[in-house]
Amino acid sequence: MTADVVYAKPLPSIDAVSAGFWSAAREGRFVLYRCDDCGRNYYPATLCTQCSSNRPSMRWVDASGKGRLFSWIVMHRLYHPAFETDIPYNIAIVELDEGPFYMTNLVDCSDQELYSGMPLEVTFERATDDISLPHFRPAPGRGESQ
Amino acid sequence: MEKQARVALVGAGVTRLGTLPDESGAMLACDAMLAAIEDAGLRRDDIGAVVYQPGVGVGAVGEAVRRLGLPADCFLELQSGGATAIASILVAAGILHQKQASYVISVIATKARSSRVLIGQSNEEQGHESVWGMFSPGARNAMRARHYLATYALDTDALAWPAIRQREHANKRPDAVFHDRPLTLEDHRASPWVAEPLRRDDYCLVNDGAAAFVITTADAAADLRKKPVVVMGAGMSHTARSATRGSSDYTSDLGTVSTAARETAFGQAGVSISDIDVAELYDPFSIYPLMHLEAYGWCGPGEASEFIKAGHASLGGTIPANTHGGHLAWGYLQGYGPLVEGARQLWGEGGATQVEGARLALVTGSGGTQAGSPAFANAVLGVR
Repeated sequence: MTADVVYAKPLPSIDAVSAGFWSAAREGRFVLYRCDDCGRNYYPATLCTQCSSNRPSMRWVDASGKGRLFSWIVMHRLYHPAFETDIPYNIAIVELDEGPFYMTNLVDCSDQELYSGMPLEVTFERATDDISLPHFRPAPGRGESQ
Repeated sequence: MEKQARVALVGAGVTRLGTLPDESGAMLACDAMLAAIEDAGLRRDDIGAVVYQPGVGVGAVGEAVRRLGLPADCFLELQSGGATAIASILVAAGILHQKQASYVISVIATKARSSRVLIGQSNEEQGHESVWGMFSPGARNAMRARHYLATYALDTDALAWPAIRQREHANKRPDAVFHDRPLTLEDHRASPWVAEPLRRDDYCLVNDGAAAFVITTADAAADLRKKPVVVMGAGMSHTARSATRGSSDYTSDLGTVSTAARETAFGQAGVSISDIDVAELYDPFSIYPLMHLEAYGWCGPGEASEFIKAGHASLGGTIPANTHGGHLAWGYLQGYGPLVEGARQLWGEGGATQVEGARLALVTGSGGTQAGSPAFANAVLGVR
């Protein structure tokens, strides 16, 4: 996908907090929202739900961009015209090494080779001048499913 | 509910279910409310409060109430997806105990079929997930189903058995949409993928129709025509409490999600799960009966499909479940379908799928409030 092709799929709606995630993604960095008080990582951004601090100190920090396949589906029914040429397409939930789950599309693999626990890593697709989407692809050399 | 605060269902009404293009949502809601009021042996003037869940493709309930000439002073719209019917009991209890009304009616109407809405199509409904092409409640539940099948190394035949066994119940019930359509394992295997691993036969029905029930205090209920179906316990929980890692809301672990709701309902009722005679389990997709049977401990993790296949959740089994056929085969009126069927079983009105001597019913509901963040509700109903 290049920027001169009009990107017709839905784009993320960005607020003052999530802007930090998307500006990092534009630079090719995958970040998570971390509580400086207890060190837990979150996505999407929330307050720290585990920390006893009422006003936890939260900020976006660089993350590994690695994880394992938790669950996935293949969409055969079209709900949005911009996905017409993609049908059937996958949607995946990655359990990130840092703990949070991240929804994405998997690239550089076929739907038939997916399995629970498959090692994955982030790769960015530039959708518009402002938005790069974190997709995930198989991560070589991280061993088989546990 | 706490004993002194108990409320009871005293009448219920359901319209025809199916494709009803000529009947507006207001007409359907009106018919269901009138049937419920008559079933309770009450008059329209008795109804002091209306709690309404707007279904799919239906506007505000105002027109239905105006048509019916209800004198209700207390008038609420409530939305917690498939958890709404049970949530409306909690709201009704507050209305009754605050003396805003002596009798409350709770009603849903839906035009999901003839309004031809593709549920889950809008970006607003899906939020950020639409970026990935994640649309529809079916897709969310397919994610749960895949996780379940992968965890227990099962194939998609595991999803077939709830659909097949519930269809057998529906085939005995003239009021079910699929009363005359059997389903075999071969049919299920040939059913097209929608959101793989879910096939069309794993989805609930899409129909028009309406349902309503009347609630009053347990004391007032004792003077009415029907045997009161007492709400012995009711409780809710929400995935936001148990799942704090973002998309982990897609877990198939309903046991964790439902813990608080189960403990509240059964604690108030003072009964245990093994006391339950009949269960009406919220089943928008075939994965849900499996998750429920395991969450309540009727069988072990990963065993629910074999349990259902063996007939243990059928009439005469360990725990007869979804006796009318459920959302998969009777019809979809969100949480009102299971709740009304639970009450009817205790009234002895289950017809050919009546569980003999049923005294205690479990009813559940689950509803997405926003993308992948469902509320869960359950209630224990009882008759003397």
